[in-house]
Amino acid sequence: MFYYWTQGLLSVIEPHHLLIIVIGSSIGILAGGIPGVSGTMAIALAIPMTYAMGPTASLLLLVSLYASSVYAGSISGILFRTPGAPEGAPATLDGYEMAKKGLAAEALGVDIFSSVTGGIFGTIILALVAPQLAKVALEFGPSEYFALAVLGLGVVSSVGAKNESKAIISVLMGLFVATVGIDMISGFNRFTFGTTTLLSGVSFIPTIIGLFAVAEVLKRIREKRGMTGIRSKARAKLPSLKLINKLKGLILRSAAIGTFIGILPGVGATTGAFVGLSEAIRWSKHPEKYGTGIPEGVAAPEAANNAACSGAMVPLLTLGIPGSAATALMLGAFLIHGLRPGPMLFIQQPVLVYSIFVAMLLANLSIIILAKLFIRYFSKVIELPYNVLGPGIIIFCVAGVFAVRNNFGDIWIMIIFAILGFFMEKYNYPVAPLILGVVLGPIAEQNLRQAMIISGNNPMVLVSTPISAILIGLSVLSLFSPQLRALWVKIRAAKGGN
Amino acid sequence: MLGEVLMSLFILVVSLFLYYEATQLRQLRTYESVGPDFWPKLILLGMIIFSAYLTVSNLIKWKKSRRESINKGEIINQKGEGWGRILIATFLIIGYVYLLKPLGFIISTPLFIIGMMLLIRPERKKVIPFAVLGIMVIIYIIFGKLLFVPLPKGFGIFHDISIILGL
Repeated sequence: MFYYWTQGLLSVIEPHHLLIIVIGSSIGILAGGIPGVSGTMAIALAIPMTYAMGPTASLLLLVSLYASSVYAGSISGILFRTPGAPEGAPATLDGYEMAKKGLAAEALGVDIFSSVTGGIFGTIILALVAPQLAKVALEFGPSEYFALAVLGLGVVSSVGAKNESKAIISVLMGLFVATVGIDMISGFNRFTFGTTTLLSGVSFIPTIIGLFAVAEVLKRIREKRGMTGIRSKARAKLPSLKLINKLKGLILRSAAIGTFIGILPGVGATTGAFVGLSEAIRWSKHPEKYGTGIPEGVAAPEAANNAACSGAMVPLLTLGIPGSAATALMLGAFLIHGLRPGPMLFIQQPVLVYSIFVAMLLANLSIIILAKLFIRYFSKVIELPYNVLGPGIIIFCVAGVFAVRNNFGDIWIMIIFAILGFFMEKYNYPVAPLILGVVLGPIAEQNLRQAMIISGNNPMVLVSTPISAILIGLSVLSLFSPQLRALWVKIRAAKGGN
Repeated sequence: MLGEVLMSLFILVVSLFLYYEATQLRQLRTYESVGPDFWPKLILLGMIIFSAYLTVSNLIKWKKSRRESINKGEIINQKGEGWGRILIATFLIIGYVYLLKPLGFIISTPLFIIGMMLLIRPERKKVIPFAVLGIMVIIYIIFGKLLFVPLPKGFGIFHDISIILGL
């Protein structure tokens, strides 16, 4: 393992790789910080930029972008009460109150410190857990992989907790989209309607860019929201040793909670941040102070969301199962560069895996320097009006999608998914389950059919091994988790009443 | 609420159509019992059930809320805010992509930027030339010079213009 750590470090410290990490972190901070340009959207937009790069450089760019964008979501939240990304929302509560008291620099400093600590903690856990989990995953056959895919799909209930039926429809849409094209087992065309563009299936890049980036622009054009610039001067002041000493326990606990939440498929950085904050309140001796502008209210969610971001890489790297929209995009990036995340990645590309670990550590560390620099000029960037940003994003999307295969059909696919994404968002159909469906659909279908062929069409093969039976059981539990949670609350309330 | 009904109804109709398409795959079934039609049919069946459920439940909710509004004497305003803008934006994007092939990237893109900027904030006309230039230069540097992506050059004279401008 030490050998691979060294090799990973040597790979990452190559000047062009270091430059890529700095560029990725900078883009991440910008994207995460600008309301309306989320980290997920930035990953979607950055994927076409990676075509000309090698696999290592591409993945270093994306992981550093991912790690830093999670941090930056809270900057505009603290300064303007407009979180740049959902995961930045919990820190807004206390951060903005601190800013109102004239403590914006202190709030931003605590934000940086806790995000970096959380991110590093999560990455260390990722590096320790992932190789061990990958060893177990080597034993997996078709039925286990099918069960894993079902487990990944089972998280839709958590992703779309507001309306489970809509979340299920969304994931089913994604699963259906994944069936379009030539069937990999029989070789027959499915739902191509005579077009050659669809023979190789619905391309992943146009799908995600349409759903996330273009749909978001359409949404903003309709709402006329965020179209005026916000003006403010800002800087960050890192916390003193005394304050660090006071916050260290809270930050480490939140980071541990965040990492655990990140590892769970479907529960990403946003949930991590909210749980981090709620646990901090629960453990606090003065819970009433939260929301009034205290550094603890910034430190807890920020340590948790960056740790969750590293934790979310565990199922992606070890099992090839993305647990969130951002990691689903990362899976797409792996596939584009001819790599298949999963246990074999640790055997075939160990240096790449350890380079990712090192890059995540460096990306988190780079936040300290870059964030201080960016915050100073941040107000200038977010002054960019949406009538410039919106068309710019669409043109970037069109050029990026066209770059995939020089195919105009792909741009039409992007537009179709943009319109679909717009209406899904409008009527509260969560988009993330659709992406999970697109990514996990082929894994589920192919392994199901392989398992059936191997077993002579015996459906019991799907639960024949302890691992697959446990995974299927967990999927069912996960699918019905909102109902079970509600039942649990009812039982507790009834007991409390008695 | 009516929009919710229409959305789930649309999903239902499309799912039914695709299910019919999936049944046509049965003729191609091979030696496997779980053939190429099994998985899509399973998915579409789920979509039909859930979208039908949502359509019916939303329809009931919509009728109920409409009845309550009428009883209270409220005026039902069906006019959606911003739909005109979204329709124009969609047509602008479709038009842009449609013109991209014959006119090429370098001609059609400024036209699209101008159209979109006028749509989003018509009062800020002064920034349009700078925005057009800025966006074009950024895209040209990233895709044309750094990534060597052959962006569409257009046909005939537009192709020649693209070549002259160095795309």
